[in-house]
Amino acid sequence: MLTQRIEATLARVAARAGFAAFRYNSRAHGDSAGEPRELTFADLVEDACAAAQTARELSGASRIIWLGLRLGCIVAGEAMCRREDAAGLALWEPIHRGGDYFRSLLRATFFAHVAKGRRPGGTVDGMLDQIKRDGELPVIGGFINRALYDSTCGLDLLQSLQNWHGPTLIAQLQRKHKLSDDNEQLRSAICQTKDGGNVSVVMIAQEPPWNMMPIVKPQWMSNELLKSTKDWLDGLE
Amino acid sequence: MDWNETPDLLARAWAEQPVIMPGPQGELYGIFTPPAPEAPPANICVILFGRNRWWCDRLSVKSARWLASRGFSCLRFDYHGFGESAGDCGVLHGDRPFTKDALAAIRYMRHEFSQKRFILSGFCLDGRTALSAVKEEGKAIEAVVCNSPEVTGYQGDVVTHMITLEKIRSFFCGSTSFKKDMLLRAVRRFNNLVKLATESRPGEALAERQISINFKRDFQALVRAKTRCLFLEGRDDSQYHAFQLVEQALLTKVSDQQRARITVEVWPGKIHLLENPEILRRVAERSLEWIDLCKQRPVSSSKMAILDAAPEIKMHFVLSEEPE
Repeated sequence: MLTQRIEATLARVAARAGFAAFRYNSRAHGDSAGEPRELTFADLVEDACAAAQTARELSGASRIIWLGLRLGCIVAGEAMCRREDAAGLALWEPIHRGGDYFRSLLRATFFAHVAKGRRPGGTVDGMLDQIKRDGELPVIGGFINRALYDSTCGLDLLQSLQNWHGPTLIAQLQRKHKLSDDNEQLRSAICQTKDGGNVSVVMIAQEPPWNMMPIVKPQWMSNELLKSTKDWLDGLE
Repeated sequence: MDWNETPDLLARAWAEQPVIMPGPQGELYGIFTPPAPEAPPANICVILFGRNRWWCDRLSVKSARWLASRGFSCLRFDYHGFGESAGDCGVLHGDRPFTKDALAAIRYMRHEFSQKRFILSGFCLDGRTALSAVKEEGKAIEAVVCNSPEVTGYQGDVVTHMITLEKIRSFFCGSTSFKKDMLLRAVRRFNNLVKLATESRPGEALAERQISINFKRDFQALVRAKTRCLFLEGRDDSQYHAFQLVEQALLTKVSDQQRARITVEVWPGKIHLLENPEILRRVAERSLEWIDLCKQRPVSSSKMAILDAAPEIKMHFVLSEEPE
């Protein structure tokens, strides 16, 4: 959630370019109501669909361009499948498998201990067991809750987007100078659909400390990412 | 404290209103949580400072709703350059609080929401922000919660804690990159020490000179304004090691009456652990309890001379054990 600043800034950039932009906090996130312990992935998708509906009603627009950030890419992918009004999809540093998201959170928590000269008390697998046993696990800036973990772990972005062939932006934010295997596979899969999807790729040689976001100050921002997303939006028909 | 969302808290969430306030660098975006109509009114507006307005696992969101369910009005907002607010926050420094934003928020709440009395609360730099507003708005500020603030004007440990057994042990057990980092920090700290030794601050010994001028000014404003204050510290935090200078150099110079308004609670271990949401929950819980007590025993409404009524005041400056 601490990517709030770049999301707000993009919304304003898009609005200046003539696109109505709508941002929302899913239940149990940000300013919204909701109980995190009960939150499941299906709730996130339901909220995304509700947000799309509200955005259409408020703006009068007939189609939606979705933008997902990391795990939000899978949420956007699943929500799009349930509706028939998607005009485009922007994926900012997509997480390809739900389980990867949680493992990266746990690794970051480990790293935070090591960086302070402390020995972590267990292994990542041990921490995963703790989620199952206790229902929640403290990580940097919050908790992983069992309901979300269980409902998200087995998800796969490629599978969520198997029927998608609309205009797509894949923005990779990694130090490497070539497309990651996962992103390349996704790009090929969308391009090879029967209608031949149009995929734009942007590689930004930055690696924001995603899992440290709650303790990174000031909030993360990338002008390069904003510009490339705006350019992609401008290029849509 | 139960952090789960009860029907009362959900009702407060539904009642929340977005606010857009004029700030020093443009608009500041925040959320106002009105008090529950069924609760006895506290007639106090609590401003919860944080970077951003959802501070750490949404503790400020939940805190605002909890306080509102007990009759307080609450505001939480994004500083300039954070979240949705305009401007650029630049490089953050523990000794440079967001005073202008805090004052803008107080004034907006006064003019647009008719709030007259305030309690300000924050952790670390946000606690310093709360404290820094007292100089100009002390008359309206009932109390301040200033959890684990930085009190020095530079980064790093104070002289007495530059070399400790724990650090030596960590150094030898740590990785090469950790060792390199520690050495770099040691060089920076040595530079700080040299700067301090050459600084001209008449009447202050080297130890006292470590307290930043800004903190001293804000602390003195707090004492003058007769505003109540809670400082919550972790015994093993570097912030507390620095705060001990405040105990020795500033708290010893205030009268008994003045000191009675200042509560210092020191918990065992560390509380300045932004990577540990469980500790931060407990810090938030204690802050909320303390704020709630202020409703029962207002101070500035009468600026009473005898301050022996509220339990937390009785235990002033006692280094208490961790509260249950």
